[in-house]
Amino acid sequence: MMRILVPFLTFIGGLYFFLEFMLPEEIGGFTFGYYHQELSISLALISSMAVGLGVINLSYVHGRILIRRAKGSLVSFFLLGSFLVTFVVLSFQWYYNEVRQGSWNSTLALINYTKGEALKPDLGDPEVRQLETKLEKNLELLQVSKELPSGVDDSEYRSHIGELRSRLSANRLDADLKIRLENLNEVVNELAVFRLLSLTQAKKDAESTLLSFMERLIVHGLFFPLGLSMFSLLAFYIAYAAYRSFRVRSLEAAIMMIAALVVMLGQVPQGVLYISSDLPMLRLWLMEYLSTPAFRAIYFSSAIAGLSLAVRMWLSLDKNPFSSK
Amino acid sequence: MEHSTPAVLILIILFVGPVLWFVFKARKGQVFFLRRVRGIDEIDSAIGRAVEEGRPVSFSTGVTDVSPLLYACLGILHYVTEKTSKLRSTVIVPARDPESLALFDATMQSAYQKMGRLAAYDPAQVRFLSSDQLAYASGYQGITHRENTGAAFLFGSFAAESLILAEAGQQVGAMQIAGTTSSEQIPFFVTSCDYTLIGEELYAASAYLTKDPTQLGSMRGQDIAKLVILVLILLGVVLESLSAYGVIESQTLKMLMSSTWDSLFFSSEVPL
Repeated sequence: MMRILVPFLTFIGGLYFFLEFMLPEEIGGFTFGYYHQELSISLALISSMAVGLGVINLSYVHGRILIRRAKGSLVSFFLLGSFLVTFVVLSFQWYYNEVRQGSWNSTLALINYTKGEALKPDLGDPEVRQLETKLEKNLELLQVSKELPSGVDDSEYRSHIGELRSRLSANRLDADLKIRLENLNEVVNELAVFRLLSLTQAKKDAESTLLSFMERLIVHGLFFPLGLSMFSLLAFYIAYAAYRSFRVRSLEAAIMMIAALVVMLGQVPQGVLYISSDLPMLRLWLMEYLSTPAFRAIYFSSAIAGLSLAVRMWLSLDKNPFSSK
Repeated sequence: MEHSTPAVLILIILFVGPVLWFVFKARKGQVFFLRRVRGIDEIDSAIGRAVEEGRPVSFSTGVTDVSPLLYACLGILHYVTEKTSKLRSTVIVPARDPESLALFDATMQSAYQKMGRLAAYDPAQVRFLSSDQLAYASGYQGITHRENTGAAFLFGSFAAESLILAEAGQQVGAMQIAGTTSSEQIPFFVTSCDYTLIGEELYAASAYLTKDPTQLGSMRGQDIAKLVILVLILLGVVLESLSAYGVIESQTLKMLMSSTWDSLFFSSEVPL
């Protein structure tokens, strides 16, 4: 059953993407790839199930080393410990941001939506009423919300929101649609500014907590510098590998050495200053007319091989590499 | 959303047609010649050397995502795992992302099962390191030095971390065989590894090792596809040269390559 089902599903899946790319966008009013974006997102959801696999594997491999106190147990201890600390700190920071900023995030969405809708030329009375109703409901939620940034005066916050609400209510009574839209835009803009000020205050408060300090230490103080240190090793490794490997023992090696010298000196200002002003042009010529065609030849062959393998996988022509037969 | 033009479909038929033709011919029994690739021949030597020294083997696919390229690397991993399990040695496979981890695990289990040694398979041979490029390189360096690997295989797609990985093996004296389609990293592998497979040779490795008729036929078909590309390049050069001298209109070729379905099949104004 699996021998028929798996190739069949593989073929159907591949056929959809092939036809979606090959066919025109619309054929007689019918759009073949109408749900293409949703389908692509659903594929990403499937791969998200694999997220836990990495954590399980890490825990299994290093946990086993720790328990058995095998060679490298100190390294495993620090790895699992730092993983746990990072997980706890970043999780709490995420929760803090989501909870504290949650209601303001929906406000931002509403502000953007209202501004977008208000620009439409054919906006009529029912549409304006709908926008006013949505905004009023959001303001009502904000007024009774308990999640305030610390340091913001409670009564001042609530009275400001209340004032915006009463302006909105008064706006509904106005007969002129144009004036109502203008007032609506004013309320939305003031709400946007108020939101920005509140979030700035909230961010300042958040940065003074222990959790945010630890987050900054882990991400900006450790993770980024360690990555940059690894990257800086490359400079030494390149010089070391070149010194070890490049020996002028033959004519080809000599030609390669000369070409390398020309390219390197053509890259730096000193080559132009002290040797020749034609070096950059020579370098460009070498890169464009010798190096690039060679790279393209490799790309062509790799692309053809990749295409051929993809077709074999799609049509299930290959023997299954996971098969034990 | 991007959609293709008729010219793309014609090109796909020209490239894929020979591949399918020769695959079917190979399945009917025709034998195709594959030239020797020194790097692939030395895979057995590298494994044998590591086993003699009592050191494990490492197999890394770099930053390769789940793609046909990873599939090609899995074929080589299957072969390497078969050999090491037969010789009772260990393969350490550092994984960069969880999807690949699952594929490596399944491939190695299958290889052990094929050699009748499934009970000897240790899931800890496949180790998730990190999705971050440099953290992965750092973890690989650590594994190479701590485990003192005797042979290192670097197959797949690599970025800046390629030299870090290759130098790690160089520092412990491991015999290294690399294969990549990332052209920019080839010079680094050539200087640091004992043997390097370039571009298509990586895809050919699986066919070379398994002698599978489908894969051998596909190699032959790919050669014909490359011949088609060569002909098209020469044709393009001739046409452009003729148009530069005013003999023909250069727009004709450009129109053929860029026209949409409508203009090519439903308009009477476009010349074919």
